[in-house]
Amino acid sequence: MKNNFFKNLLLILVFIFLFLPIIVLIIYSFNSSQMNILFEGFTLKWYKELFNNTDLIESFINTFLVAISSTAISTIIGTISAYGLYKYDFPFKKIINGLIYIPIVIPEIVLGISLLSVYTLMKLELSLMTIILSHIAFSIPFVIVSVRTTLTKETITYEEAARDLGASNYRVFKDIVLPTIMPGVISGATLAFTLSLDDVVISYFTAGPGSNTLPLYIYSMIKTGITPDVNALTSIILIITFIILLSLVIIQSRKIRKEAI
Amino acid sequence: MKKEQSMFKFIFTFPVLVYTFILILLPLLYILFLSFCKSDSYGGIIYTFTLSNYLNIFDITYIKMFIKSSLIAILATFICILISYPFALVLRTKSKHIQNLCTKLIMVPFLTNSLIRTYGWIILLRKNGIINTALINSGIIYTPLSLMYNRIGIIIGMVYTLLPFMLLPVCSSVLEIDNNIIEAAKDLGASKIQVFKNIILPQTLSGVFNGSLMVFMPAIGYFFITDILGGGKIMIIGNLIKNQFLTARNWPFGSAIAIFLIIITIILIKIYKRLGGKMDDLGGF
Amino acid sequence: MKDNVIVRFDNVSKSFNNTNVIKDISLDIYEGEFITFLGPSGCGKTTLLRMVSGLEKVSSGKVFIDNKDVTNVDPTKREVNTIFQNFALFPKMTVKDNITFGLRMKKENPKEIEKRCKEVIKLVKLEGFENRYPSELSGGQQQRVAIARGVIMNPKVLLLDESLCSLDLKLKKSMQVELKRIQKKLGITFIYVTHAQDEALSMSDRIAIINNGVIEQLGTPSDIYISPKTVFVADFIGEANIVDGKVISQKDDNLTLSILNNYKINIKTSEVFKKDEIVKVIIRPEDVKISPNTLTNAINGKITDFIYGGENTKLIIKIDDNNSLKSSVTDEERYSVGKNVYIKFEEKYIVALRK
Repeated sequence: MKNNFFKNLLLILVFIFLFLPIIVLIIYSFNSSQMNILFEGFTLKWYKELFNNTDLIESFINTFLVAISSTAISTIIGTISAYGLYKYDFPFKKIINGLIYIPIVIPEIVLGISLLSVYTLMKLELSLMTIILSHIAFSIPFVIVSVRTTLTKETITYEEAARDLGASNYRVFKDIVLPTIMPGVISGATLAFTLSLDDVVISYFTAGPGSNTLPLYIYSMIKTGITPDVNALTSIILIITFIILLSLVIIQSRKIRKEAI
Repeated sequence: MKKEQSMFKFIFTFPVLVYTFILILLPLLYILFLSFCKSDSYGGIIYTFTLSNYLNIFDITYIKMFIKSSLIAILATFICILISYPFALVLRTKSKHIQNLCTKLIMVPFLTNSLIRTYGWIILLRKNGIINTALINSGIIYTPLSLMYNRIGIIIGMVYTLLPFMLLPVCSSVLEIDNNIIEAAKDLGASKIQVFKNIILPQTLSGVFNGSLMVFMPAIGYFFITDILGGGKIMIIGNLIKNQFLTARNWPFGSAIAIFLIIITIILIKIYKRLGGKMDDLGGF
Repeated sequence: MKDNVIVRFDNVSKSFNNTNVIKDISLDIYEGEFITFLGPSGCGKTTLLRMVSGLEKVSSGKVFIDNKDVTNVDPTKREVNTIFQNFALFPKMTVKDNITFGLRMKKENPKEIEKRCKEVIKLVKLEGFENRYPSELSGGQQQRVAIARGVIMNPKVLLLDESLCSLDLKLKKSMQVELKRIQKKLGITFIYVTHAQDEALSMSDRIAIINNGVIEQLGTPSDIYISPKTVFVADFIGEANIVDGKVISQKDDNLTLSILNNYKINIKTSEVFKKDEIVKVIIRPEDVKISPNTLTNAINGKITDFIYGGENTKLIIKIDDNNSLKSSVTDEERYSVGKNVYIKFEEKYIVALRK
């Protein structure tokens, strides 16, 4: 019994550590003290102030714009690439299979500066578009790897069976392949979305002067001091993402329950 | 029929070709090229071949900084391993349901940006922050500890930000071990420590190395953590590269350091593969 | 030798989440015997085995090994070893390291380890494979490594948990012979767990048929086959025609029954039945004798199906709308589907059981 207590304590401590700064930010978003030091009293004024801070709101919208568009594009390209790499033989396939791991393993800073260099070389003006493009660049491999785990020998069997029954390429992909790899596609998309929201380094190098995202905005404020409306925004982001996550979990467990019945 | 077939193949293979060549290969080849160029004093690039950027890396001040940066990263990696192993071993004793829930929860903090979370640590760690206030108020200490603007702050920040990258692969490799194998070892008289040393450790080595790779490499590059929690006093390789590209504007030298990091990565990957690691498992997501 | 009890279950029960998987089992297992726990999946046979190894704790009752109460002894300290279902070989160790694992954990003298390793490798015929990894071995070779790894510990009892079920049919047959040879040579007790009756019948000295957490019957293979004590056992071991019968009369151990619409049979029994009692009658297919020629005092039936099976082909014979019988024949060329046949029984092997 005692042993069990310590085991559970260990799990809980690790999670407290992981969530500690987030919890602190949420609590301090209700702190009436401007200085952010001690909790003085409950207030909602930072939430009101947040809506007047157009720069902060804009960077928040930009962050989600980048995350959503880069996730959508990298999920589509990643999924068809995973299938293409698994199914077809084509020139440079071996090289590509090696190269796609590079964005996963090299330090983000290396990817960031090399993308920055190439954008400069190609005379691409740094903007929100270049951030999106960069996020696509590092998300695609994660989608490919995650979709690949769901492409198994059985997929080939199903595919052959469908083709044997006269299904067209399009129907085979849409009705047979896509449903079997869907779990991989979803987890790949979730990963792409999460990594995009979390990213600091790559955005830092590939953002243009007018294209503020949340991390860049906060980075610029670190030296001058961060206003508590950032805390308020963090709480809002957390609530939004929690709702999204929760609904995903509920949908998934409903599906599982349905399948069980 | 034949035409449709080749059209299909084109749709499924062309994007990945374009992607890898333009967004992966081209940028890397370009910084490789840059690393052999000269830079003028105004941040421009002179296209003449030189090895001076690489020779520069071996300057004693840089070498010292590389070593310090690596030590910070190694320490952070080591602490991550020390947290992840017990975590994974405890998780192994839990039901499938709890295992799933916990591995999902590990990723949740990522949904708020890591810079924001690092900023959260300021509130916790600074002189008049939560931790110091709590310790003083409870009478454990009298003068506040300096927990940030030094190495301690950087290590805390690195461990915090990168811990999930260690937890995930370590958990997945520990949870993967067949229960029968552990029982077989017990059946043959192995004690708990012997089971860990002889069975669990060898079978999870590639998972731990995987995690180490995913912690160590970012830890030498995450300049924002040294900027925020180190107070800009301590430089890691990431800061150096950042400065070469944004303030000193010596792109060729910055590129040479980046190439140097790529070479280190490749060497570590080779070791990982020799340990039996699979490329698709990297990151352990 | 048979008198030496090596493992004793003393009123052992086990429950998981309030369901009883083992219900008050008492059983003595003797030194040097090959005993099989046979039963369908989920019957509790593996749980019973794991109680010997200590990997499962009992909820109540006691377990003795070699007259010592080991009920609360840790698996690492019991002088028994297990061969696991999927062999559970350590993937990152060579064959030799796998085999010597237990001795190395005991910090045995290296010379001694070397010597014993050579012996068991010879015993299981794995010479030349010492430095291979499990992934480089065939299923049969992996099985041999698993056996060697257990046997090297000189256990008092070797426990085998469905050890042959992952092998293909041909390999299974040869491993059955092999297991029996190793057991004879070592002279130690083997407890074998399986759901496959052919494995149990061909290797065991005794079989314990387990169903729903209780031992339905314990005996030698021929005992169990010839005189099953329950309908479950009759059905589970071998093939059986199970029909209803009505007691007409009993005189000492001679029982007269009426089966299949008033056909009278005389069988031997040690049980006492009441007149007019309805009983279950077990008739093995090989005791259903058929003939294409008209016989007097025989049941008439019609062949509806053939089940080919090498030397022993079975026919399904329809008696009436409710009853069919299976019959083993060796002269199947004389019959064809749709043909009328006459049936008699080898009555001395027929068993009557109380419902």
